[in-house]
Amino acid sequence: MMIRFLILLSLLVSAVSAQAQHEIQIYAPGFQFRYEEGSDQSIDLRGYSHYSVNYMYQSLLLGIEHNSSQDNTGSTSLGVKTQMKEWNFLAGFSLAKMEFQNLTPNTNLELLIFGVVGQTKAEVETSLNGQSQTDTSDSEQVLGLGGLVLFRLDYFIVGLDTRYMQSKAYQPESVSVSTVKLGVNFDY
Amino acid sequence: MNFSRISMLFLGAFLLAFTGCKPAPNEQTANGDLAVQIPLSEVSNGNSEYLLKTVTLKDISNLREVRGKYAQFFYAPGLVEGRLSGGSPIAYFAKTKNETYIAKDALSLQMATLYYHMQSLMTWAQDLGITVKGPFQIGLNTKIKGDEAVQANNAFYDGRSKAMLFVPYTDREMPISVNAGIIAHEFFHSIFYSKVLGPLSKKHVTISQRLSDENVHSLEGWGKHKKIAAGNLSEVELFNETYLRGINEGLADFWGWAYTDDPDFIKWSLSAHVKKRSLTKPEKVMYKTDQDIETAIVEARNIADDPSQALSNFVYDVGTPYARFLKELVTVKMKNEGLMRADAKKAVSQFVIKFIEHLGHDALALNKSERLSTQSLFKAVAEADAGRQSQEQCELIIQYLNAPLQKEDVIAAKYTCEKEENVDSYKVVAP
Repeated sequence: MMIRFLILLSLLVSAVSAQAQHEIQIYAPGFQFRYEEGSDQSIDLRGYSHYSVNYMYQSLLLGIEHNSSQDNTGSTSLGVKTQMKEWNFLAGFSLAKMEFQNLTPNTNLELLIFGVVGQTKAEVETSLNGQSQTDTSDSEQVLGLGGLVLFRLDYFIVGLDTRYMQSKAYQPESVSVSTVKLGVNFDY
Repeated sequence: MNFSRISMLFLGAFLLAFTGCKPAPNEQTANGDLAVQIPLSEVSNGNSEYLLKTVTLKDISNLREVRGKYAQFFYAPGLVEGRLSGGSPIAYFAKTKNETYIAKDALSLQMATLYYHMQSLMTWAQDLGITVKGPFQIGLNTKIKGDEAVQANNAFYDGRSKAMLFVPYTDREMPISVNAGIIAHEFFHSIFYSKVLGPLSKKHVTISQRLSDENVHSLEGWGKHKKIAAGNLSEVELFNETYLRGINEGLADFWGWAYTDDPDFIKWSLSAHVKKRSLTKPEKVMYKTDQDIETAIVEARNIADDPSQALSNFVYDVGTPYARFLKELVTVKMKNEGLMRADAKKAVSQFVIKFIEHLGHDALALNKSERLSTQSLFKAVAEADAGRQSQEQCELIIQYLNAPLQKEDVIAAKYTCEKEENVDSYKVVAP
């Protein structure tokens, strides 16, 4: 899945790179918070680690992201470690951009809307009296829609997004997600 | 067409695709017969171990709550009008490519495991001629006030709510709620309650409440129930109570062994108790006699305001020898009657059901000065099948019947085995 996204992304980048200026944004690490159910039997904010790479051409944003979380429950004799791993493809569009002319070059605030499509799966490691077994779930489709604010300060970039995501692997199926990400951006 | 218009079209198509897609129904609402991976005990060459195995949970109506024909779960339940109250815990599963559900957390694993054992135990009970109405109500993470010793790492069957209750497990061993032997042990208590303690509760309210499971009196939500005055039972009543508690525990341990084939099933979760409650064949037959129970009662009365509470550990000393006896009886039946292990277990289990039915009648018929007998189980085996049995079975029975007579300070005639004329069977002959 990821390879297909990368190929698609590189094709799009190469297709338009001959014509105009482009921007690459690399975020690592980012922090994602999802309001969802968990093994503590409550609906609460759950933390995910987030990595992403975006490409922007004029008002168009394309990107990939990887989100993951880990949950450990049980005892030393019987434990369950669940890792959720998710790859998503993003496509967005800039609605507004505000340049700060008097500050350093490339200092601005930009508002985008974006959609997400991807896949999520769980790796469950069950340990029983010192022996462990890992099982992987079937991949489930992920869809999402949200808004993103980017603040650029020269080469540095901060992204804040909020979105609704849907997957039958989620509990509940629709979750509210917020992401804070720090990174760098390059124009060429 | 400039690039901005292309990008707008691209985004529009994406959003259209998104709004047109609705995920399929959540896998957590799966129902019917479902393959689930759980820890199960396996005994081979006399060694027991727990392994992850895929089993089928039958008649699941809602996997999110692991609810179905055989079990219904409550999380940290209270009690309202004699029934468990509160919400169900939520279970989370990952479905693999081969359609097997894997629990994503320890609680979900416990729920799936308990459901499977309830399914197996209820099916087994039906095979023995016992009807157990499902779904079996099970409380997880039950909060108990009062006695710290029972607030963690324990399980109870409560007859009034007809529910199996698990308190939080805090040890480093395997949780009680996945220990097949302990689950079968608790399941037997439900049978004992329906045959003995339930009918008895209508006649002797105070006794039956103490026998049911005294610890649950301090459950949250149970405050409205009548507090039992400590120490208000007569010597005879306390004797009968202690014996019934003991034999309930002993027969339940036999049930745990019969279900798992593991004589030390308790060691996986409560290893500190294994020495005392192991069902491996003892070098020397010993059990608590009527006199031993009387002595323990006198001591309990001297040291505690509530002698029943003080005898809580002693009742296992009373019960475990009965479990060892019945386990040995299975081996003897296999050897002498040419039965398969499962058939021998079934025969002995059916005997146990008949025995507790008679015990229930006997306990109901007692007047205030009458006592039950600690030898009644052995005598019931001796009298079963018109008193005819193999020589080895007869010798096993008299070994137990004579055990109190073999103490150094007792000189008495002993039970013997007598061969019947013209048939290859033996009868136990009283001294």
